[in-house]
Amino acid sequence: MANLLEMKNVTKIFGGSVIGHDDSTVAVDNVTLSILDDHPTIIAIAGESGSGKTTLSLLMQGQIAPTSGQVYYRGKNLVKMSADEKMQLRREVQPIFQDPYAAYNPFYRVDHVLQTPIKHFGLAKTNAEANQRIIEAMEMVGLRPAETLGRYPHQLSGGQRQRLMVARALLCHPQMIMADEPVSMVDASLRATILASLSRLKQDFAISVVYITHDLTTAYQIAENIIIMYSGSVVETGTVDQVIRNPKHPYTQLLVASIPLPDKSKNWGGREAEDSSQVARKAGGCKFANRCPLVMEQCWSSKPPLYTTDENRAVSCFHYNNNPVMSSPDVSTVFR
Amino acid sequence: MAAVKRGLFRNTKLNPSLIFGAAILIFIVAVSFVGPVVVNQKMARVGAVDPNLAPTAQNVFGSDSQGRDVFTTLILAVPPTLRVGLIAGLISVFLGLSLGLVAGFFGGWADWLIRTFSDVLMAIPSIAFMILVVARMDRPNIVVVSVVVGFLTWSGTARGIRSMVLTIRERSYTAVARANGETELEVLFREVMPNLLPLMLASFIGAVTMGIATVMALEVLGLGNNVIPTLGMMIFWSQRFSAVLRGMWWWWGPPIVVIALIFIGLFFVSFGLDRYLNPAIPINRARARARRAIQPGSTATSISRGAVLEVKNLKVIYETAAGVVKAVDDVSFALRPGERMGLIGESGSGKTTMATAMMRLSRPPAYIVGGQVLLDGRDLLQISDRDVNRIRLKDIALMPQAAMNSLNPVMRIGPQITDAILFHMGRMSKQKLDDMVGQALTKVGLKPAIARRFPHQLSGGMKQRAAMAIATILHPKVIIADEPTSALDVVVQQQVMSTMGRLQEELGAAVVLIGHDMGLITQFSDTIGVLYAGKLVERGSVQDVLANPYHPYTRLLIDSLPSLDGKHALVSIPGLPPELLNLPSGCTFHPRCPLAFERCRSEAPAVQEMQGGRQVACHLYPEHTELPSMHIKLDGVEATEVPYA
Repeated sequence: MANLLEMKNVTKIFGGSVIGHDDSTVAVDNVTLSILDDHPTIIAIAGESGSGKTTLSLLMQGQIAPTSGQVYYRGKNLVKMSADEKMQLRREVQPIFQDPYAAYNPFYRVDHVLQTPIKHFGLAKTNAEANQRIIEAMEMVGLRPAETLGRYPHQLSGGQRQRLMVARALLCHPQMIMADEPVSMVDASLRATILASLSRLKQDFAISVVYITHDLTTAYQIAENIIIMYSGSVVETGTVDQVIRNPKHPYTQLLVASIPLPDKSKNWGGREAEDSSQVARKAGGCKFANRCPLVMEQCWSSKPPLYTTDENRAVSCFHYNNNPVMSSPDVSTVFR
Repeated sequence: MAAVKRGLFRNTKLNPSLIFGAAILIFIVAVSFVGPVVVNQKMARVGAVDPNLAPTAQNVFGSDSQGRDVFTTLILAVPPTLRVGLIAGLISVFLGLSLGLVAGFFGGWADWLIRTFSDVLMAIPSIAFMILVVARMDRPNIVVVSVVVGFLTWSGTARGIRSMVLTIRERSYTAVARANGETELEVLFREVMPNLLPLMLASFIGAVTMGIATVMALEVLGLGNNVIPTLGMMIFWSQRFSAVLRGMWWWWGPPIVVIALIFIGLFFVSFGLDRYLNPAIPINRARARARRAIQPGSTATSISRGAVLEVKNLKVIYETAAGVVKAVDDVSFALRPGERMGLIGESGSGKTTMATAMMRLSRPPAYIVGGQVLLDGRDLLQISDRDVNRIRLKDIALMPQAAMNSLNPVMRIGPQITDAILFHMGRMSKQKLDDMVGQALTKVGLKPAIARRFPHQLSGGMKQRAAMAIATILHPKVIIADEPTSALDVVVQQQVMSTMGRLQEELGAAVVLIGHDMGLITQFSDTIGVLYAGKLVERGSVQDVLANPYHPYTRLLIDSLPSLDGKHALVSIPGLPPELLNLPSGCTFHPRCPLAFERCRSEAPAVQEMQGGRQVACHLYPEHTELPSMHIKLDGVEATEVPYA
């Protein structure tokens, strides 16, 4: 089982410290994970804004270099790649963006984003073959070429635009898709088809998908495994059935309890404030300690490791210290 | 080039001022090409005709005191004048574009260097500098002069290009282009450059104008080349030989008219280009003016018993150049005191337009064209502006969308709150004001000390709470909250909405919560109204509507929500969201409705009263008592076939 992508103790710090004044932010803090080559999966990376989930995805794509630690794609360190290897990485790890409108150059018809990869990656020999590829990719995501091609981006709905982006990614024959909040700017009633297209990438094309989101309900529906991030660190990881339906980390519990569900019988309201500004976070302790309702003395002084609480789950919280510490720092070892 | 043109000008039709300006310029350019060939050039030589001739049929503009035929000289003066502008314009745009692109795209020290250099250039007074340059030459060479003008004027273009490149770089289509395999240079030339065309054209026109004007100014000052006739030299000569005093209008008049024509043409072209650079929602001005005369229809101001707010047949339209958009179409509902009503709709459903109309805050191109908004029996749409100001905030308050952006960034929180209430409270002591602010902040879960902070010192949730403090400080009877938490994280959203709920109970105010998140609206509200394409299609208690929706749209909306109860196929609503400019006939939902039948295509359904005080606008009723089951060929996660839409 070779690793397609591997992150080893990756840390990313933005900003720097000017003498006497430290304004640096640890966006990703010592994360180790891997995505297998022969086992396509959908991994959700979830967390609030500022949790480091987007930074993590940029590190995976080699868009930014880690401050410390290494990222490997097919065994090659991203920062030491040759130009050809970088081009291959670029084709094989395809991004999908949050805003389905800004992803299109308003100057061109939507065909532009489909023709460009064919030209640059040499995916078709003739024009006829290129057109065939485009039509196939569009049909894969449920778009009718006749109703979509030849139009300008503003003439399509948000749902259509985003599915066309999935088609674009698919055209490149990727090994992996990095989808950063792909449905958060699309109306709820149009989300399902986009999510379905992402699921098909895994099922029909054996492409792994990294689904970055703040929305646990869609993560639960399409992902198999999930990583919950808080302030750059992994606080809980495992299968969605375990992590979302039965969260163990106090932060995950808070996240899940805060989801407003369209069901009056589910208790939602009540917690007005936690006033996190009151208690300063202490260096060296658990990052969630100042917001944690279950905080203990040791949480302030030392950082909890990831404990393997179940077969397919690990939690970074001292409340679970009767469980063994994860043998490998690789959070994906608990994935199914 | 055809594709480029369509891409550039596709959004709007060519506007009249662009056409007018271009027509003038084309005419003048044509003259400059054809004229010198057609006229007898010898007539422009000194002594070619008798001096000081008044216009005749043979010499249409007479002759000057040196015996030159003015008409011929005028025709010959046009090409060198235009050439000056063209050279200056091309050099200026070329420098501005390339330096602006480098500065914006690559940034770093190149950006710093270019910006510093352009700052220095901008500090140079160009006319004084030009006089110095020209004064050093034996015989002023207008080509050299125009080149210098080009070098002096690029910095404005470079700045414009740089800031636009920075904006474009932020847009994800450049990232998409990289993912598609484009190199940085290709991204620059294929993605960034085409979007700079309107700006480049406008800069070019500006530099041409500048070039012609500068050279002309020098020539009129006597710093021109005495050999080549240009429009500027003609004016200089006429002034030198006192043409005005001698009444020789035919000498100084024609060149001034031609210069004026050139500048008028350039002005209208750049004015027209501005439309593409700074697009605004095209407003149909004539129709918009007419709208002002129309008063909302006034009928009897009867109010349903026990309602604190009643909206009756509210209609709001947008006047656009492309036509009238019915954003809110005949919406009616009544709100009981203390009721929490959720108003749910997707993009384009008219929910924000509703919120502003209910506050009578609609601004052109939006116009309230009918209906009533009755607050305690008074129609907000009929009373004077002054009275509306008295009622706003005190009786009905708005928490606008992204309320955190509605706070003034350069003002402390405290003064922003007092500003809002002073109009209503009249004079009061500072102590009392501070107490009021402190109490209001405490009520929304903030410390009174927050009053001394600036908005940027607060988190998103705190800003939202501050906005809530403003909206509730005068204890309004109705609060309209337009997506108050859409920019907040889920944990903070839950906390803010809990505070809002407690506050609402303490004040006994009715709340209209507008949003797109069915979960949030369900959890907060007692009743729910569903908006689709500007119409209220269903209304009832939250439990009833969720358990047993009447409208097919409501059913599909509920089914499209992912739940945590188990993985099941997700459903999308088939078809496309409605185009407001081109709404379907009959029921606006019929093209997407799995249960639509003939009548739905032709006749818009009226709102019908259903059991339990519920309302629905659908032709299935009263024939049916509940919504028939729908079979739609749509699958979600485990789908083997992705549906078409």
